[in-house]
Amino acid sequence: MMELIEITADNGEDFSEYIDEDFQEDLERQFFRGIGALDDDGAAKGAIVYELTNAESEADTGSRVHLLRAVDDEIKNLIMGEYGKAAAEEEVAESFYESEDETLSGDLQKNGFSKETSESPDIIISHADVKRISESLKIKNIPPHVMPLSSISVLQFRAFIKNCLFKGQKGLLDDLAYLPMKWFERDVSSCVMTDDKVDGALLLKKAPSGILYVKLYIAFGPDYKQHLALMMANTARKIVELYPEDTKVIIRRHNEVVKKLTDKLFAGSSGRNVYSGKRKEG
Amino acid sequence: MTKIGLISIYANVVAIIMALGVFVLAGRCRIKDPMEKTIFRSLLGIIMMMSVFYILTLLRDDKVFTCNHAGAMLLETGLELLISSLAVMWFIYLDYRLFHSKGHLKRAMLKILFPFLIVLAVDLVNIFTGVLFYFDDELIYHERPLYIVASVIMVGYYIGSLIYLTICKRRDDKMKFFSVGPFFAPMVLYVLIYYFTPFATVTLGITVGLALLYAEIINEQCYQDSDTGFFNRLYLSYLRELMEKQAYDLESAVLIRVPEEEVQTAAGLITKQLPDDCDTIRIGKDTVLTLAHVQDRAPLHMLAEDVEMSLEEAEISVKVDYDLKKKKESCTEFLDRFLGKV
Repeated sequence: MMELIEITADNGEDFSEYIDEDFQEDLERQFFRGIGALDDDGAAKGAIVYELTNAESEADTGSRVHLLRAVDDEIKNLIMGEYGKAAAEEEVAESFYESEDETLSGDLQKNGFSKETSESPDIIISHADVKRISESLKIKNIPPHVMPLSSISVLQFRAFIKNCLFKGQKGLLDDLAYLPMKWFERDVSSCVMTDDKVDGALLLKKAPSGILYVKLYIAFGPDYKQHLALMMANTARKIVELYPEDTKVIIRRHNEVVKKLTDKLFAGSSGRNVYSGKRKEG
Repeated sequence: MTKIGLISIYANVVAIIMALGVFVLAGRCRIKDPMEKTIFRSLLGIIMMMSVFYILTLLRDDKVFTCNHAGAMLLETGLELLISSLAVMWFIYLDYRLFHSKGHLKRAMLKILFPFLIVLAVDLVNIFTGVLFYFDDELIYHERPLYIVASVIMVGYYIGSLIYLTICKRRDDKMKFFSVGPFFAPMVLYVLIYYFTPFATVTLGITVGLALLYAEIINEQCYQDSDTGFFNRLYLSYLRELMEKQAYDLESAVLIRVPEEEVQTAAGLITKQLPDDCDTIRIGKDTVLTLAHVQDRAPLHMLAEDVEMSLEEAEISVKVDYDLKKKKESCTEFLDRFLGKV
């Protein structure tokens, strides 16, 4: 008889066969959830990891399914059943997914999700690409008001995040308000200071797998364009300096502004093919 | 002294008196930002000096006093430098009034000053070479063709300021702007008078423009609560009118209550925690309301936590409530519901 339990950061490692290390770390985050299946002996037999979106706003709550893995289809169906109940409790209006994993797509399709294929909004940038960008930006000296994240205080960081949130800017992070400064990679993430206040940041997250994810890239104020360029130059330099040549950086082209920028900087780069789909809940 | 000269001198004397009056009043008024006050008063200081130099050049031209060639050149150069300084100071004032950022102004200063520095260099070289203007043997003033270039650069600062304002408005429609019409309208009128008549009235035009700007500043201050520096209930009424016209997008609100006797101290601490895009209004002796455009609880919670921590550290008791506008509610319905609830 299978037992279905909530997976959290505390017991995530027990499901390491089904949940890779990056998602295990994500289970610490405010809106990440996991449901796992255990057999009679308490051995993990399957898991689902999903992330709530718009959970604290008046907009409809969504749920992004990141992974669904189990030893067999029966357990997957069991997990999906429990997921449906959890989604109802969280008042999720719609579930969706986006993944290169065809098996996940097939499993979700069997559980009422639609399926389509498209180009992933994520592009993977190599260390060599970053080096090329760093050289092509032709910024010889980074001015002192552009600095690594490690140079600012927690209070300054918090004030900046608060400003971002009040301007409705969260980057790729629904839980930006809950993420501590130390969650971000401190030496390659860049900030801009004006009048002792942070008014721009390029924040990267280093996942346990070693991949760098660009999570927030924003600047405010009259000099925002110059600041965006300076932060990119600073971060690119630091990545080249501090990270090995097999390092990958993932940028998600989540809006037109980012898309235009990446098309300009990484002409010819495109995302991999992904499967995506959605399902109404409730 | 000719009649034209007398009228022109009279106009410049009026300009000095008016500028001096506004200078003194501006020193006493409650412009929040001391740097903004300083730059505004610098504009008035420059216009006063300009008027003095205009008067001296008019007296010189009418031969009321005798002046040698060097003296005439120095007087005229001084006037030219003041005209240039006024143009660049106006641009600096506009930039600072828009962004209130010393850091940004410092970084932009070289770009802002560059055309002025070119004109300054040419003005100084002109003393010895007469490349811009010169005085003949009878000490009559003559302009060289290059003078037009210098004039265009100076006019460029004024036109540039309008273009800059337009670009900023397009970039951020939530930014608070101030009307520059009151400054430009009289200036343009008096410049036209100067070009189509023999009367030197430009300084009067600019002074009237600055006085009208000052009147606008005072008008804005009627929306300010004198104890806390926040907006007052009059501003809330104004915002309600905007909400009814759907010209103000309210999505959430935070209410902060502190003991009445601590409200001034609390205001300083609260101000440090407030994000940029909010309107904060003192609606009661002990109550401050912050209106926000964000549709998410997390930032409101962050603000509430920061305000509570900051005031508790100062041993001021505080109660904070917040809420989001519901989907089907209008802004005024939300405001009434929120204020009624708390």
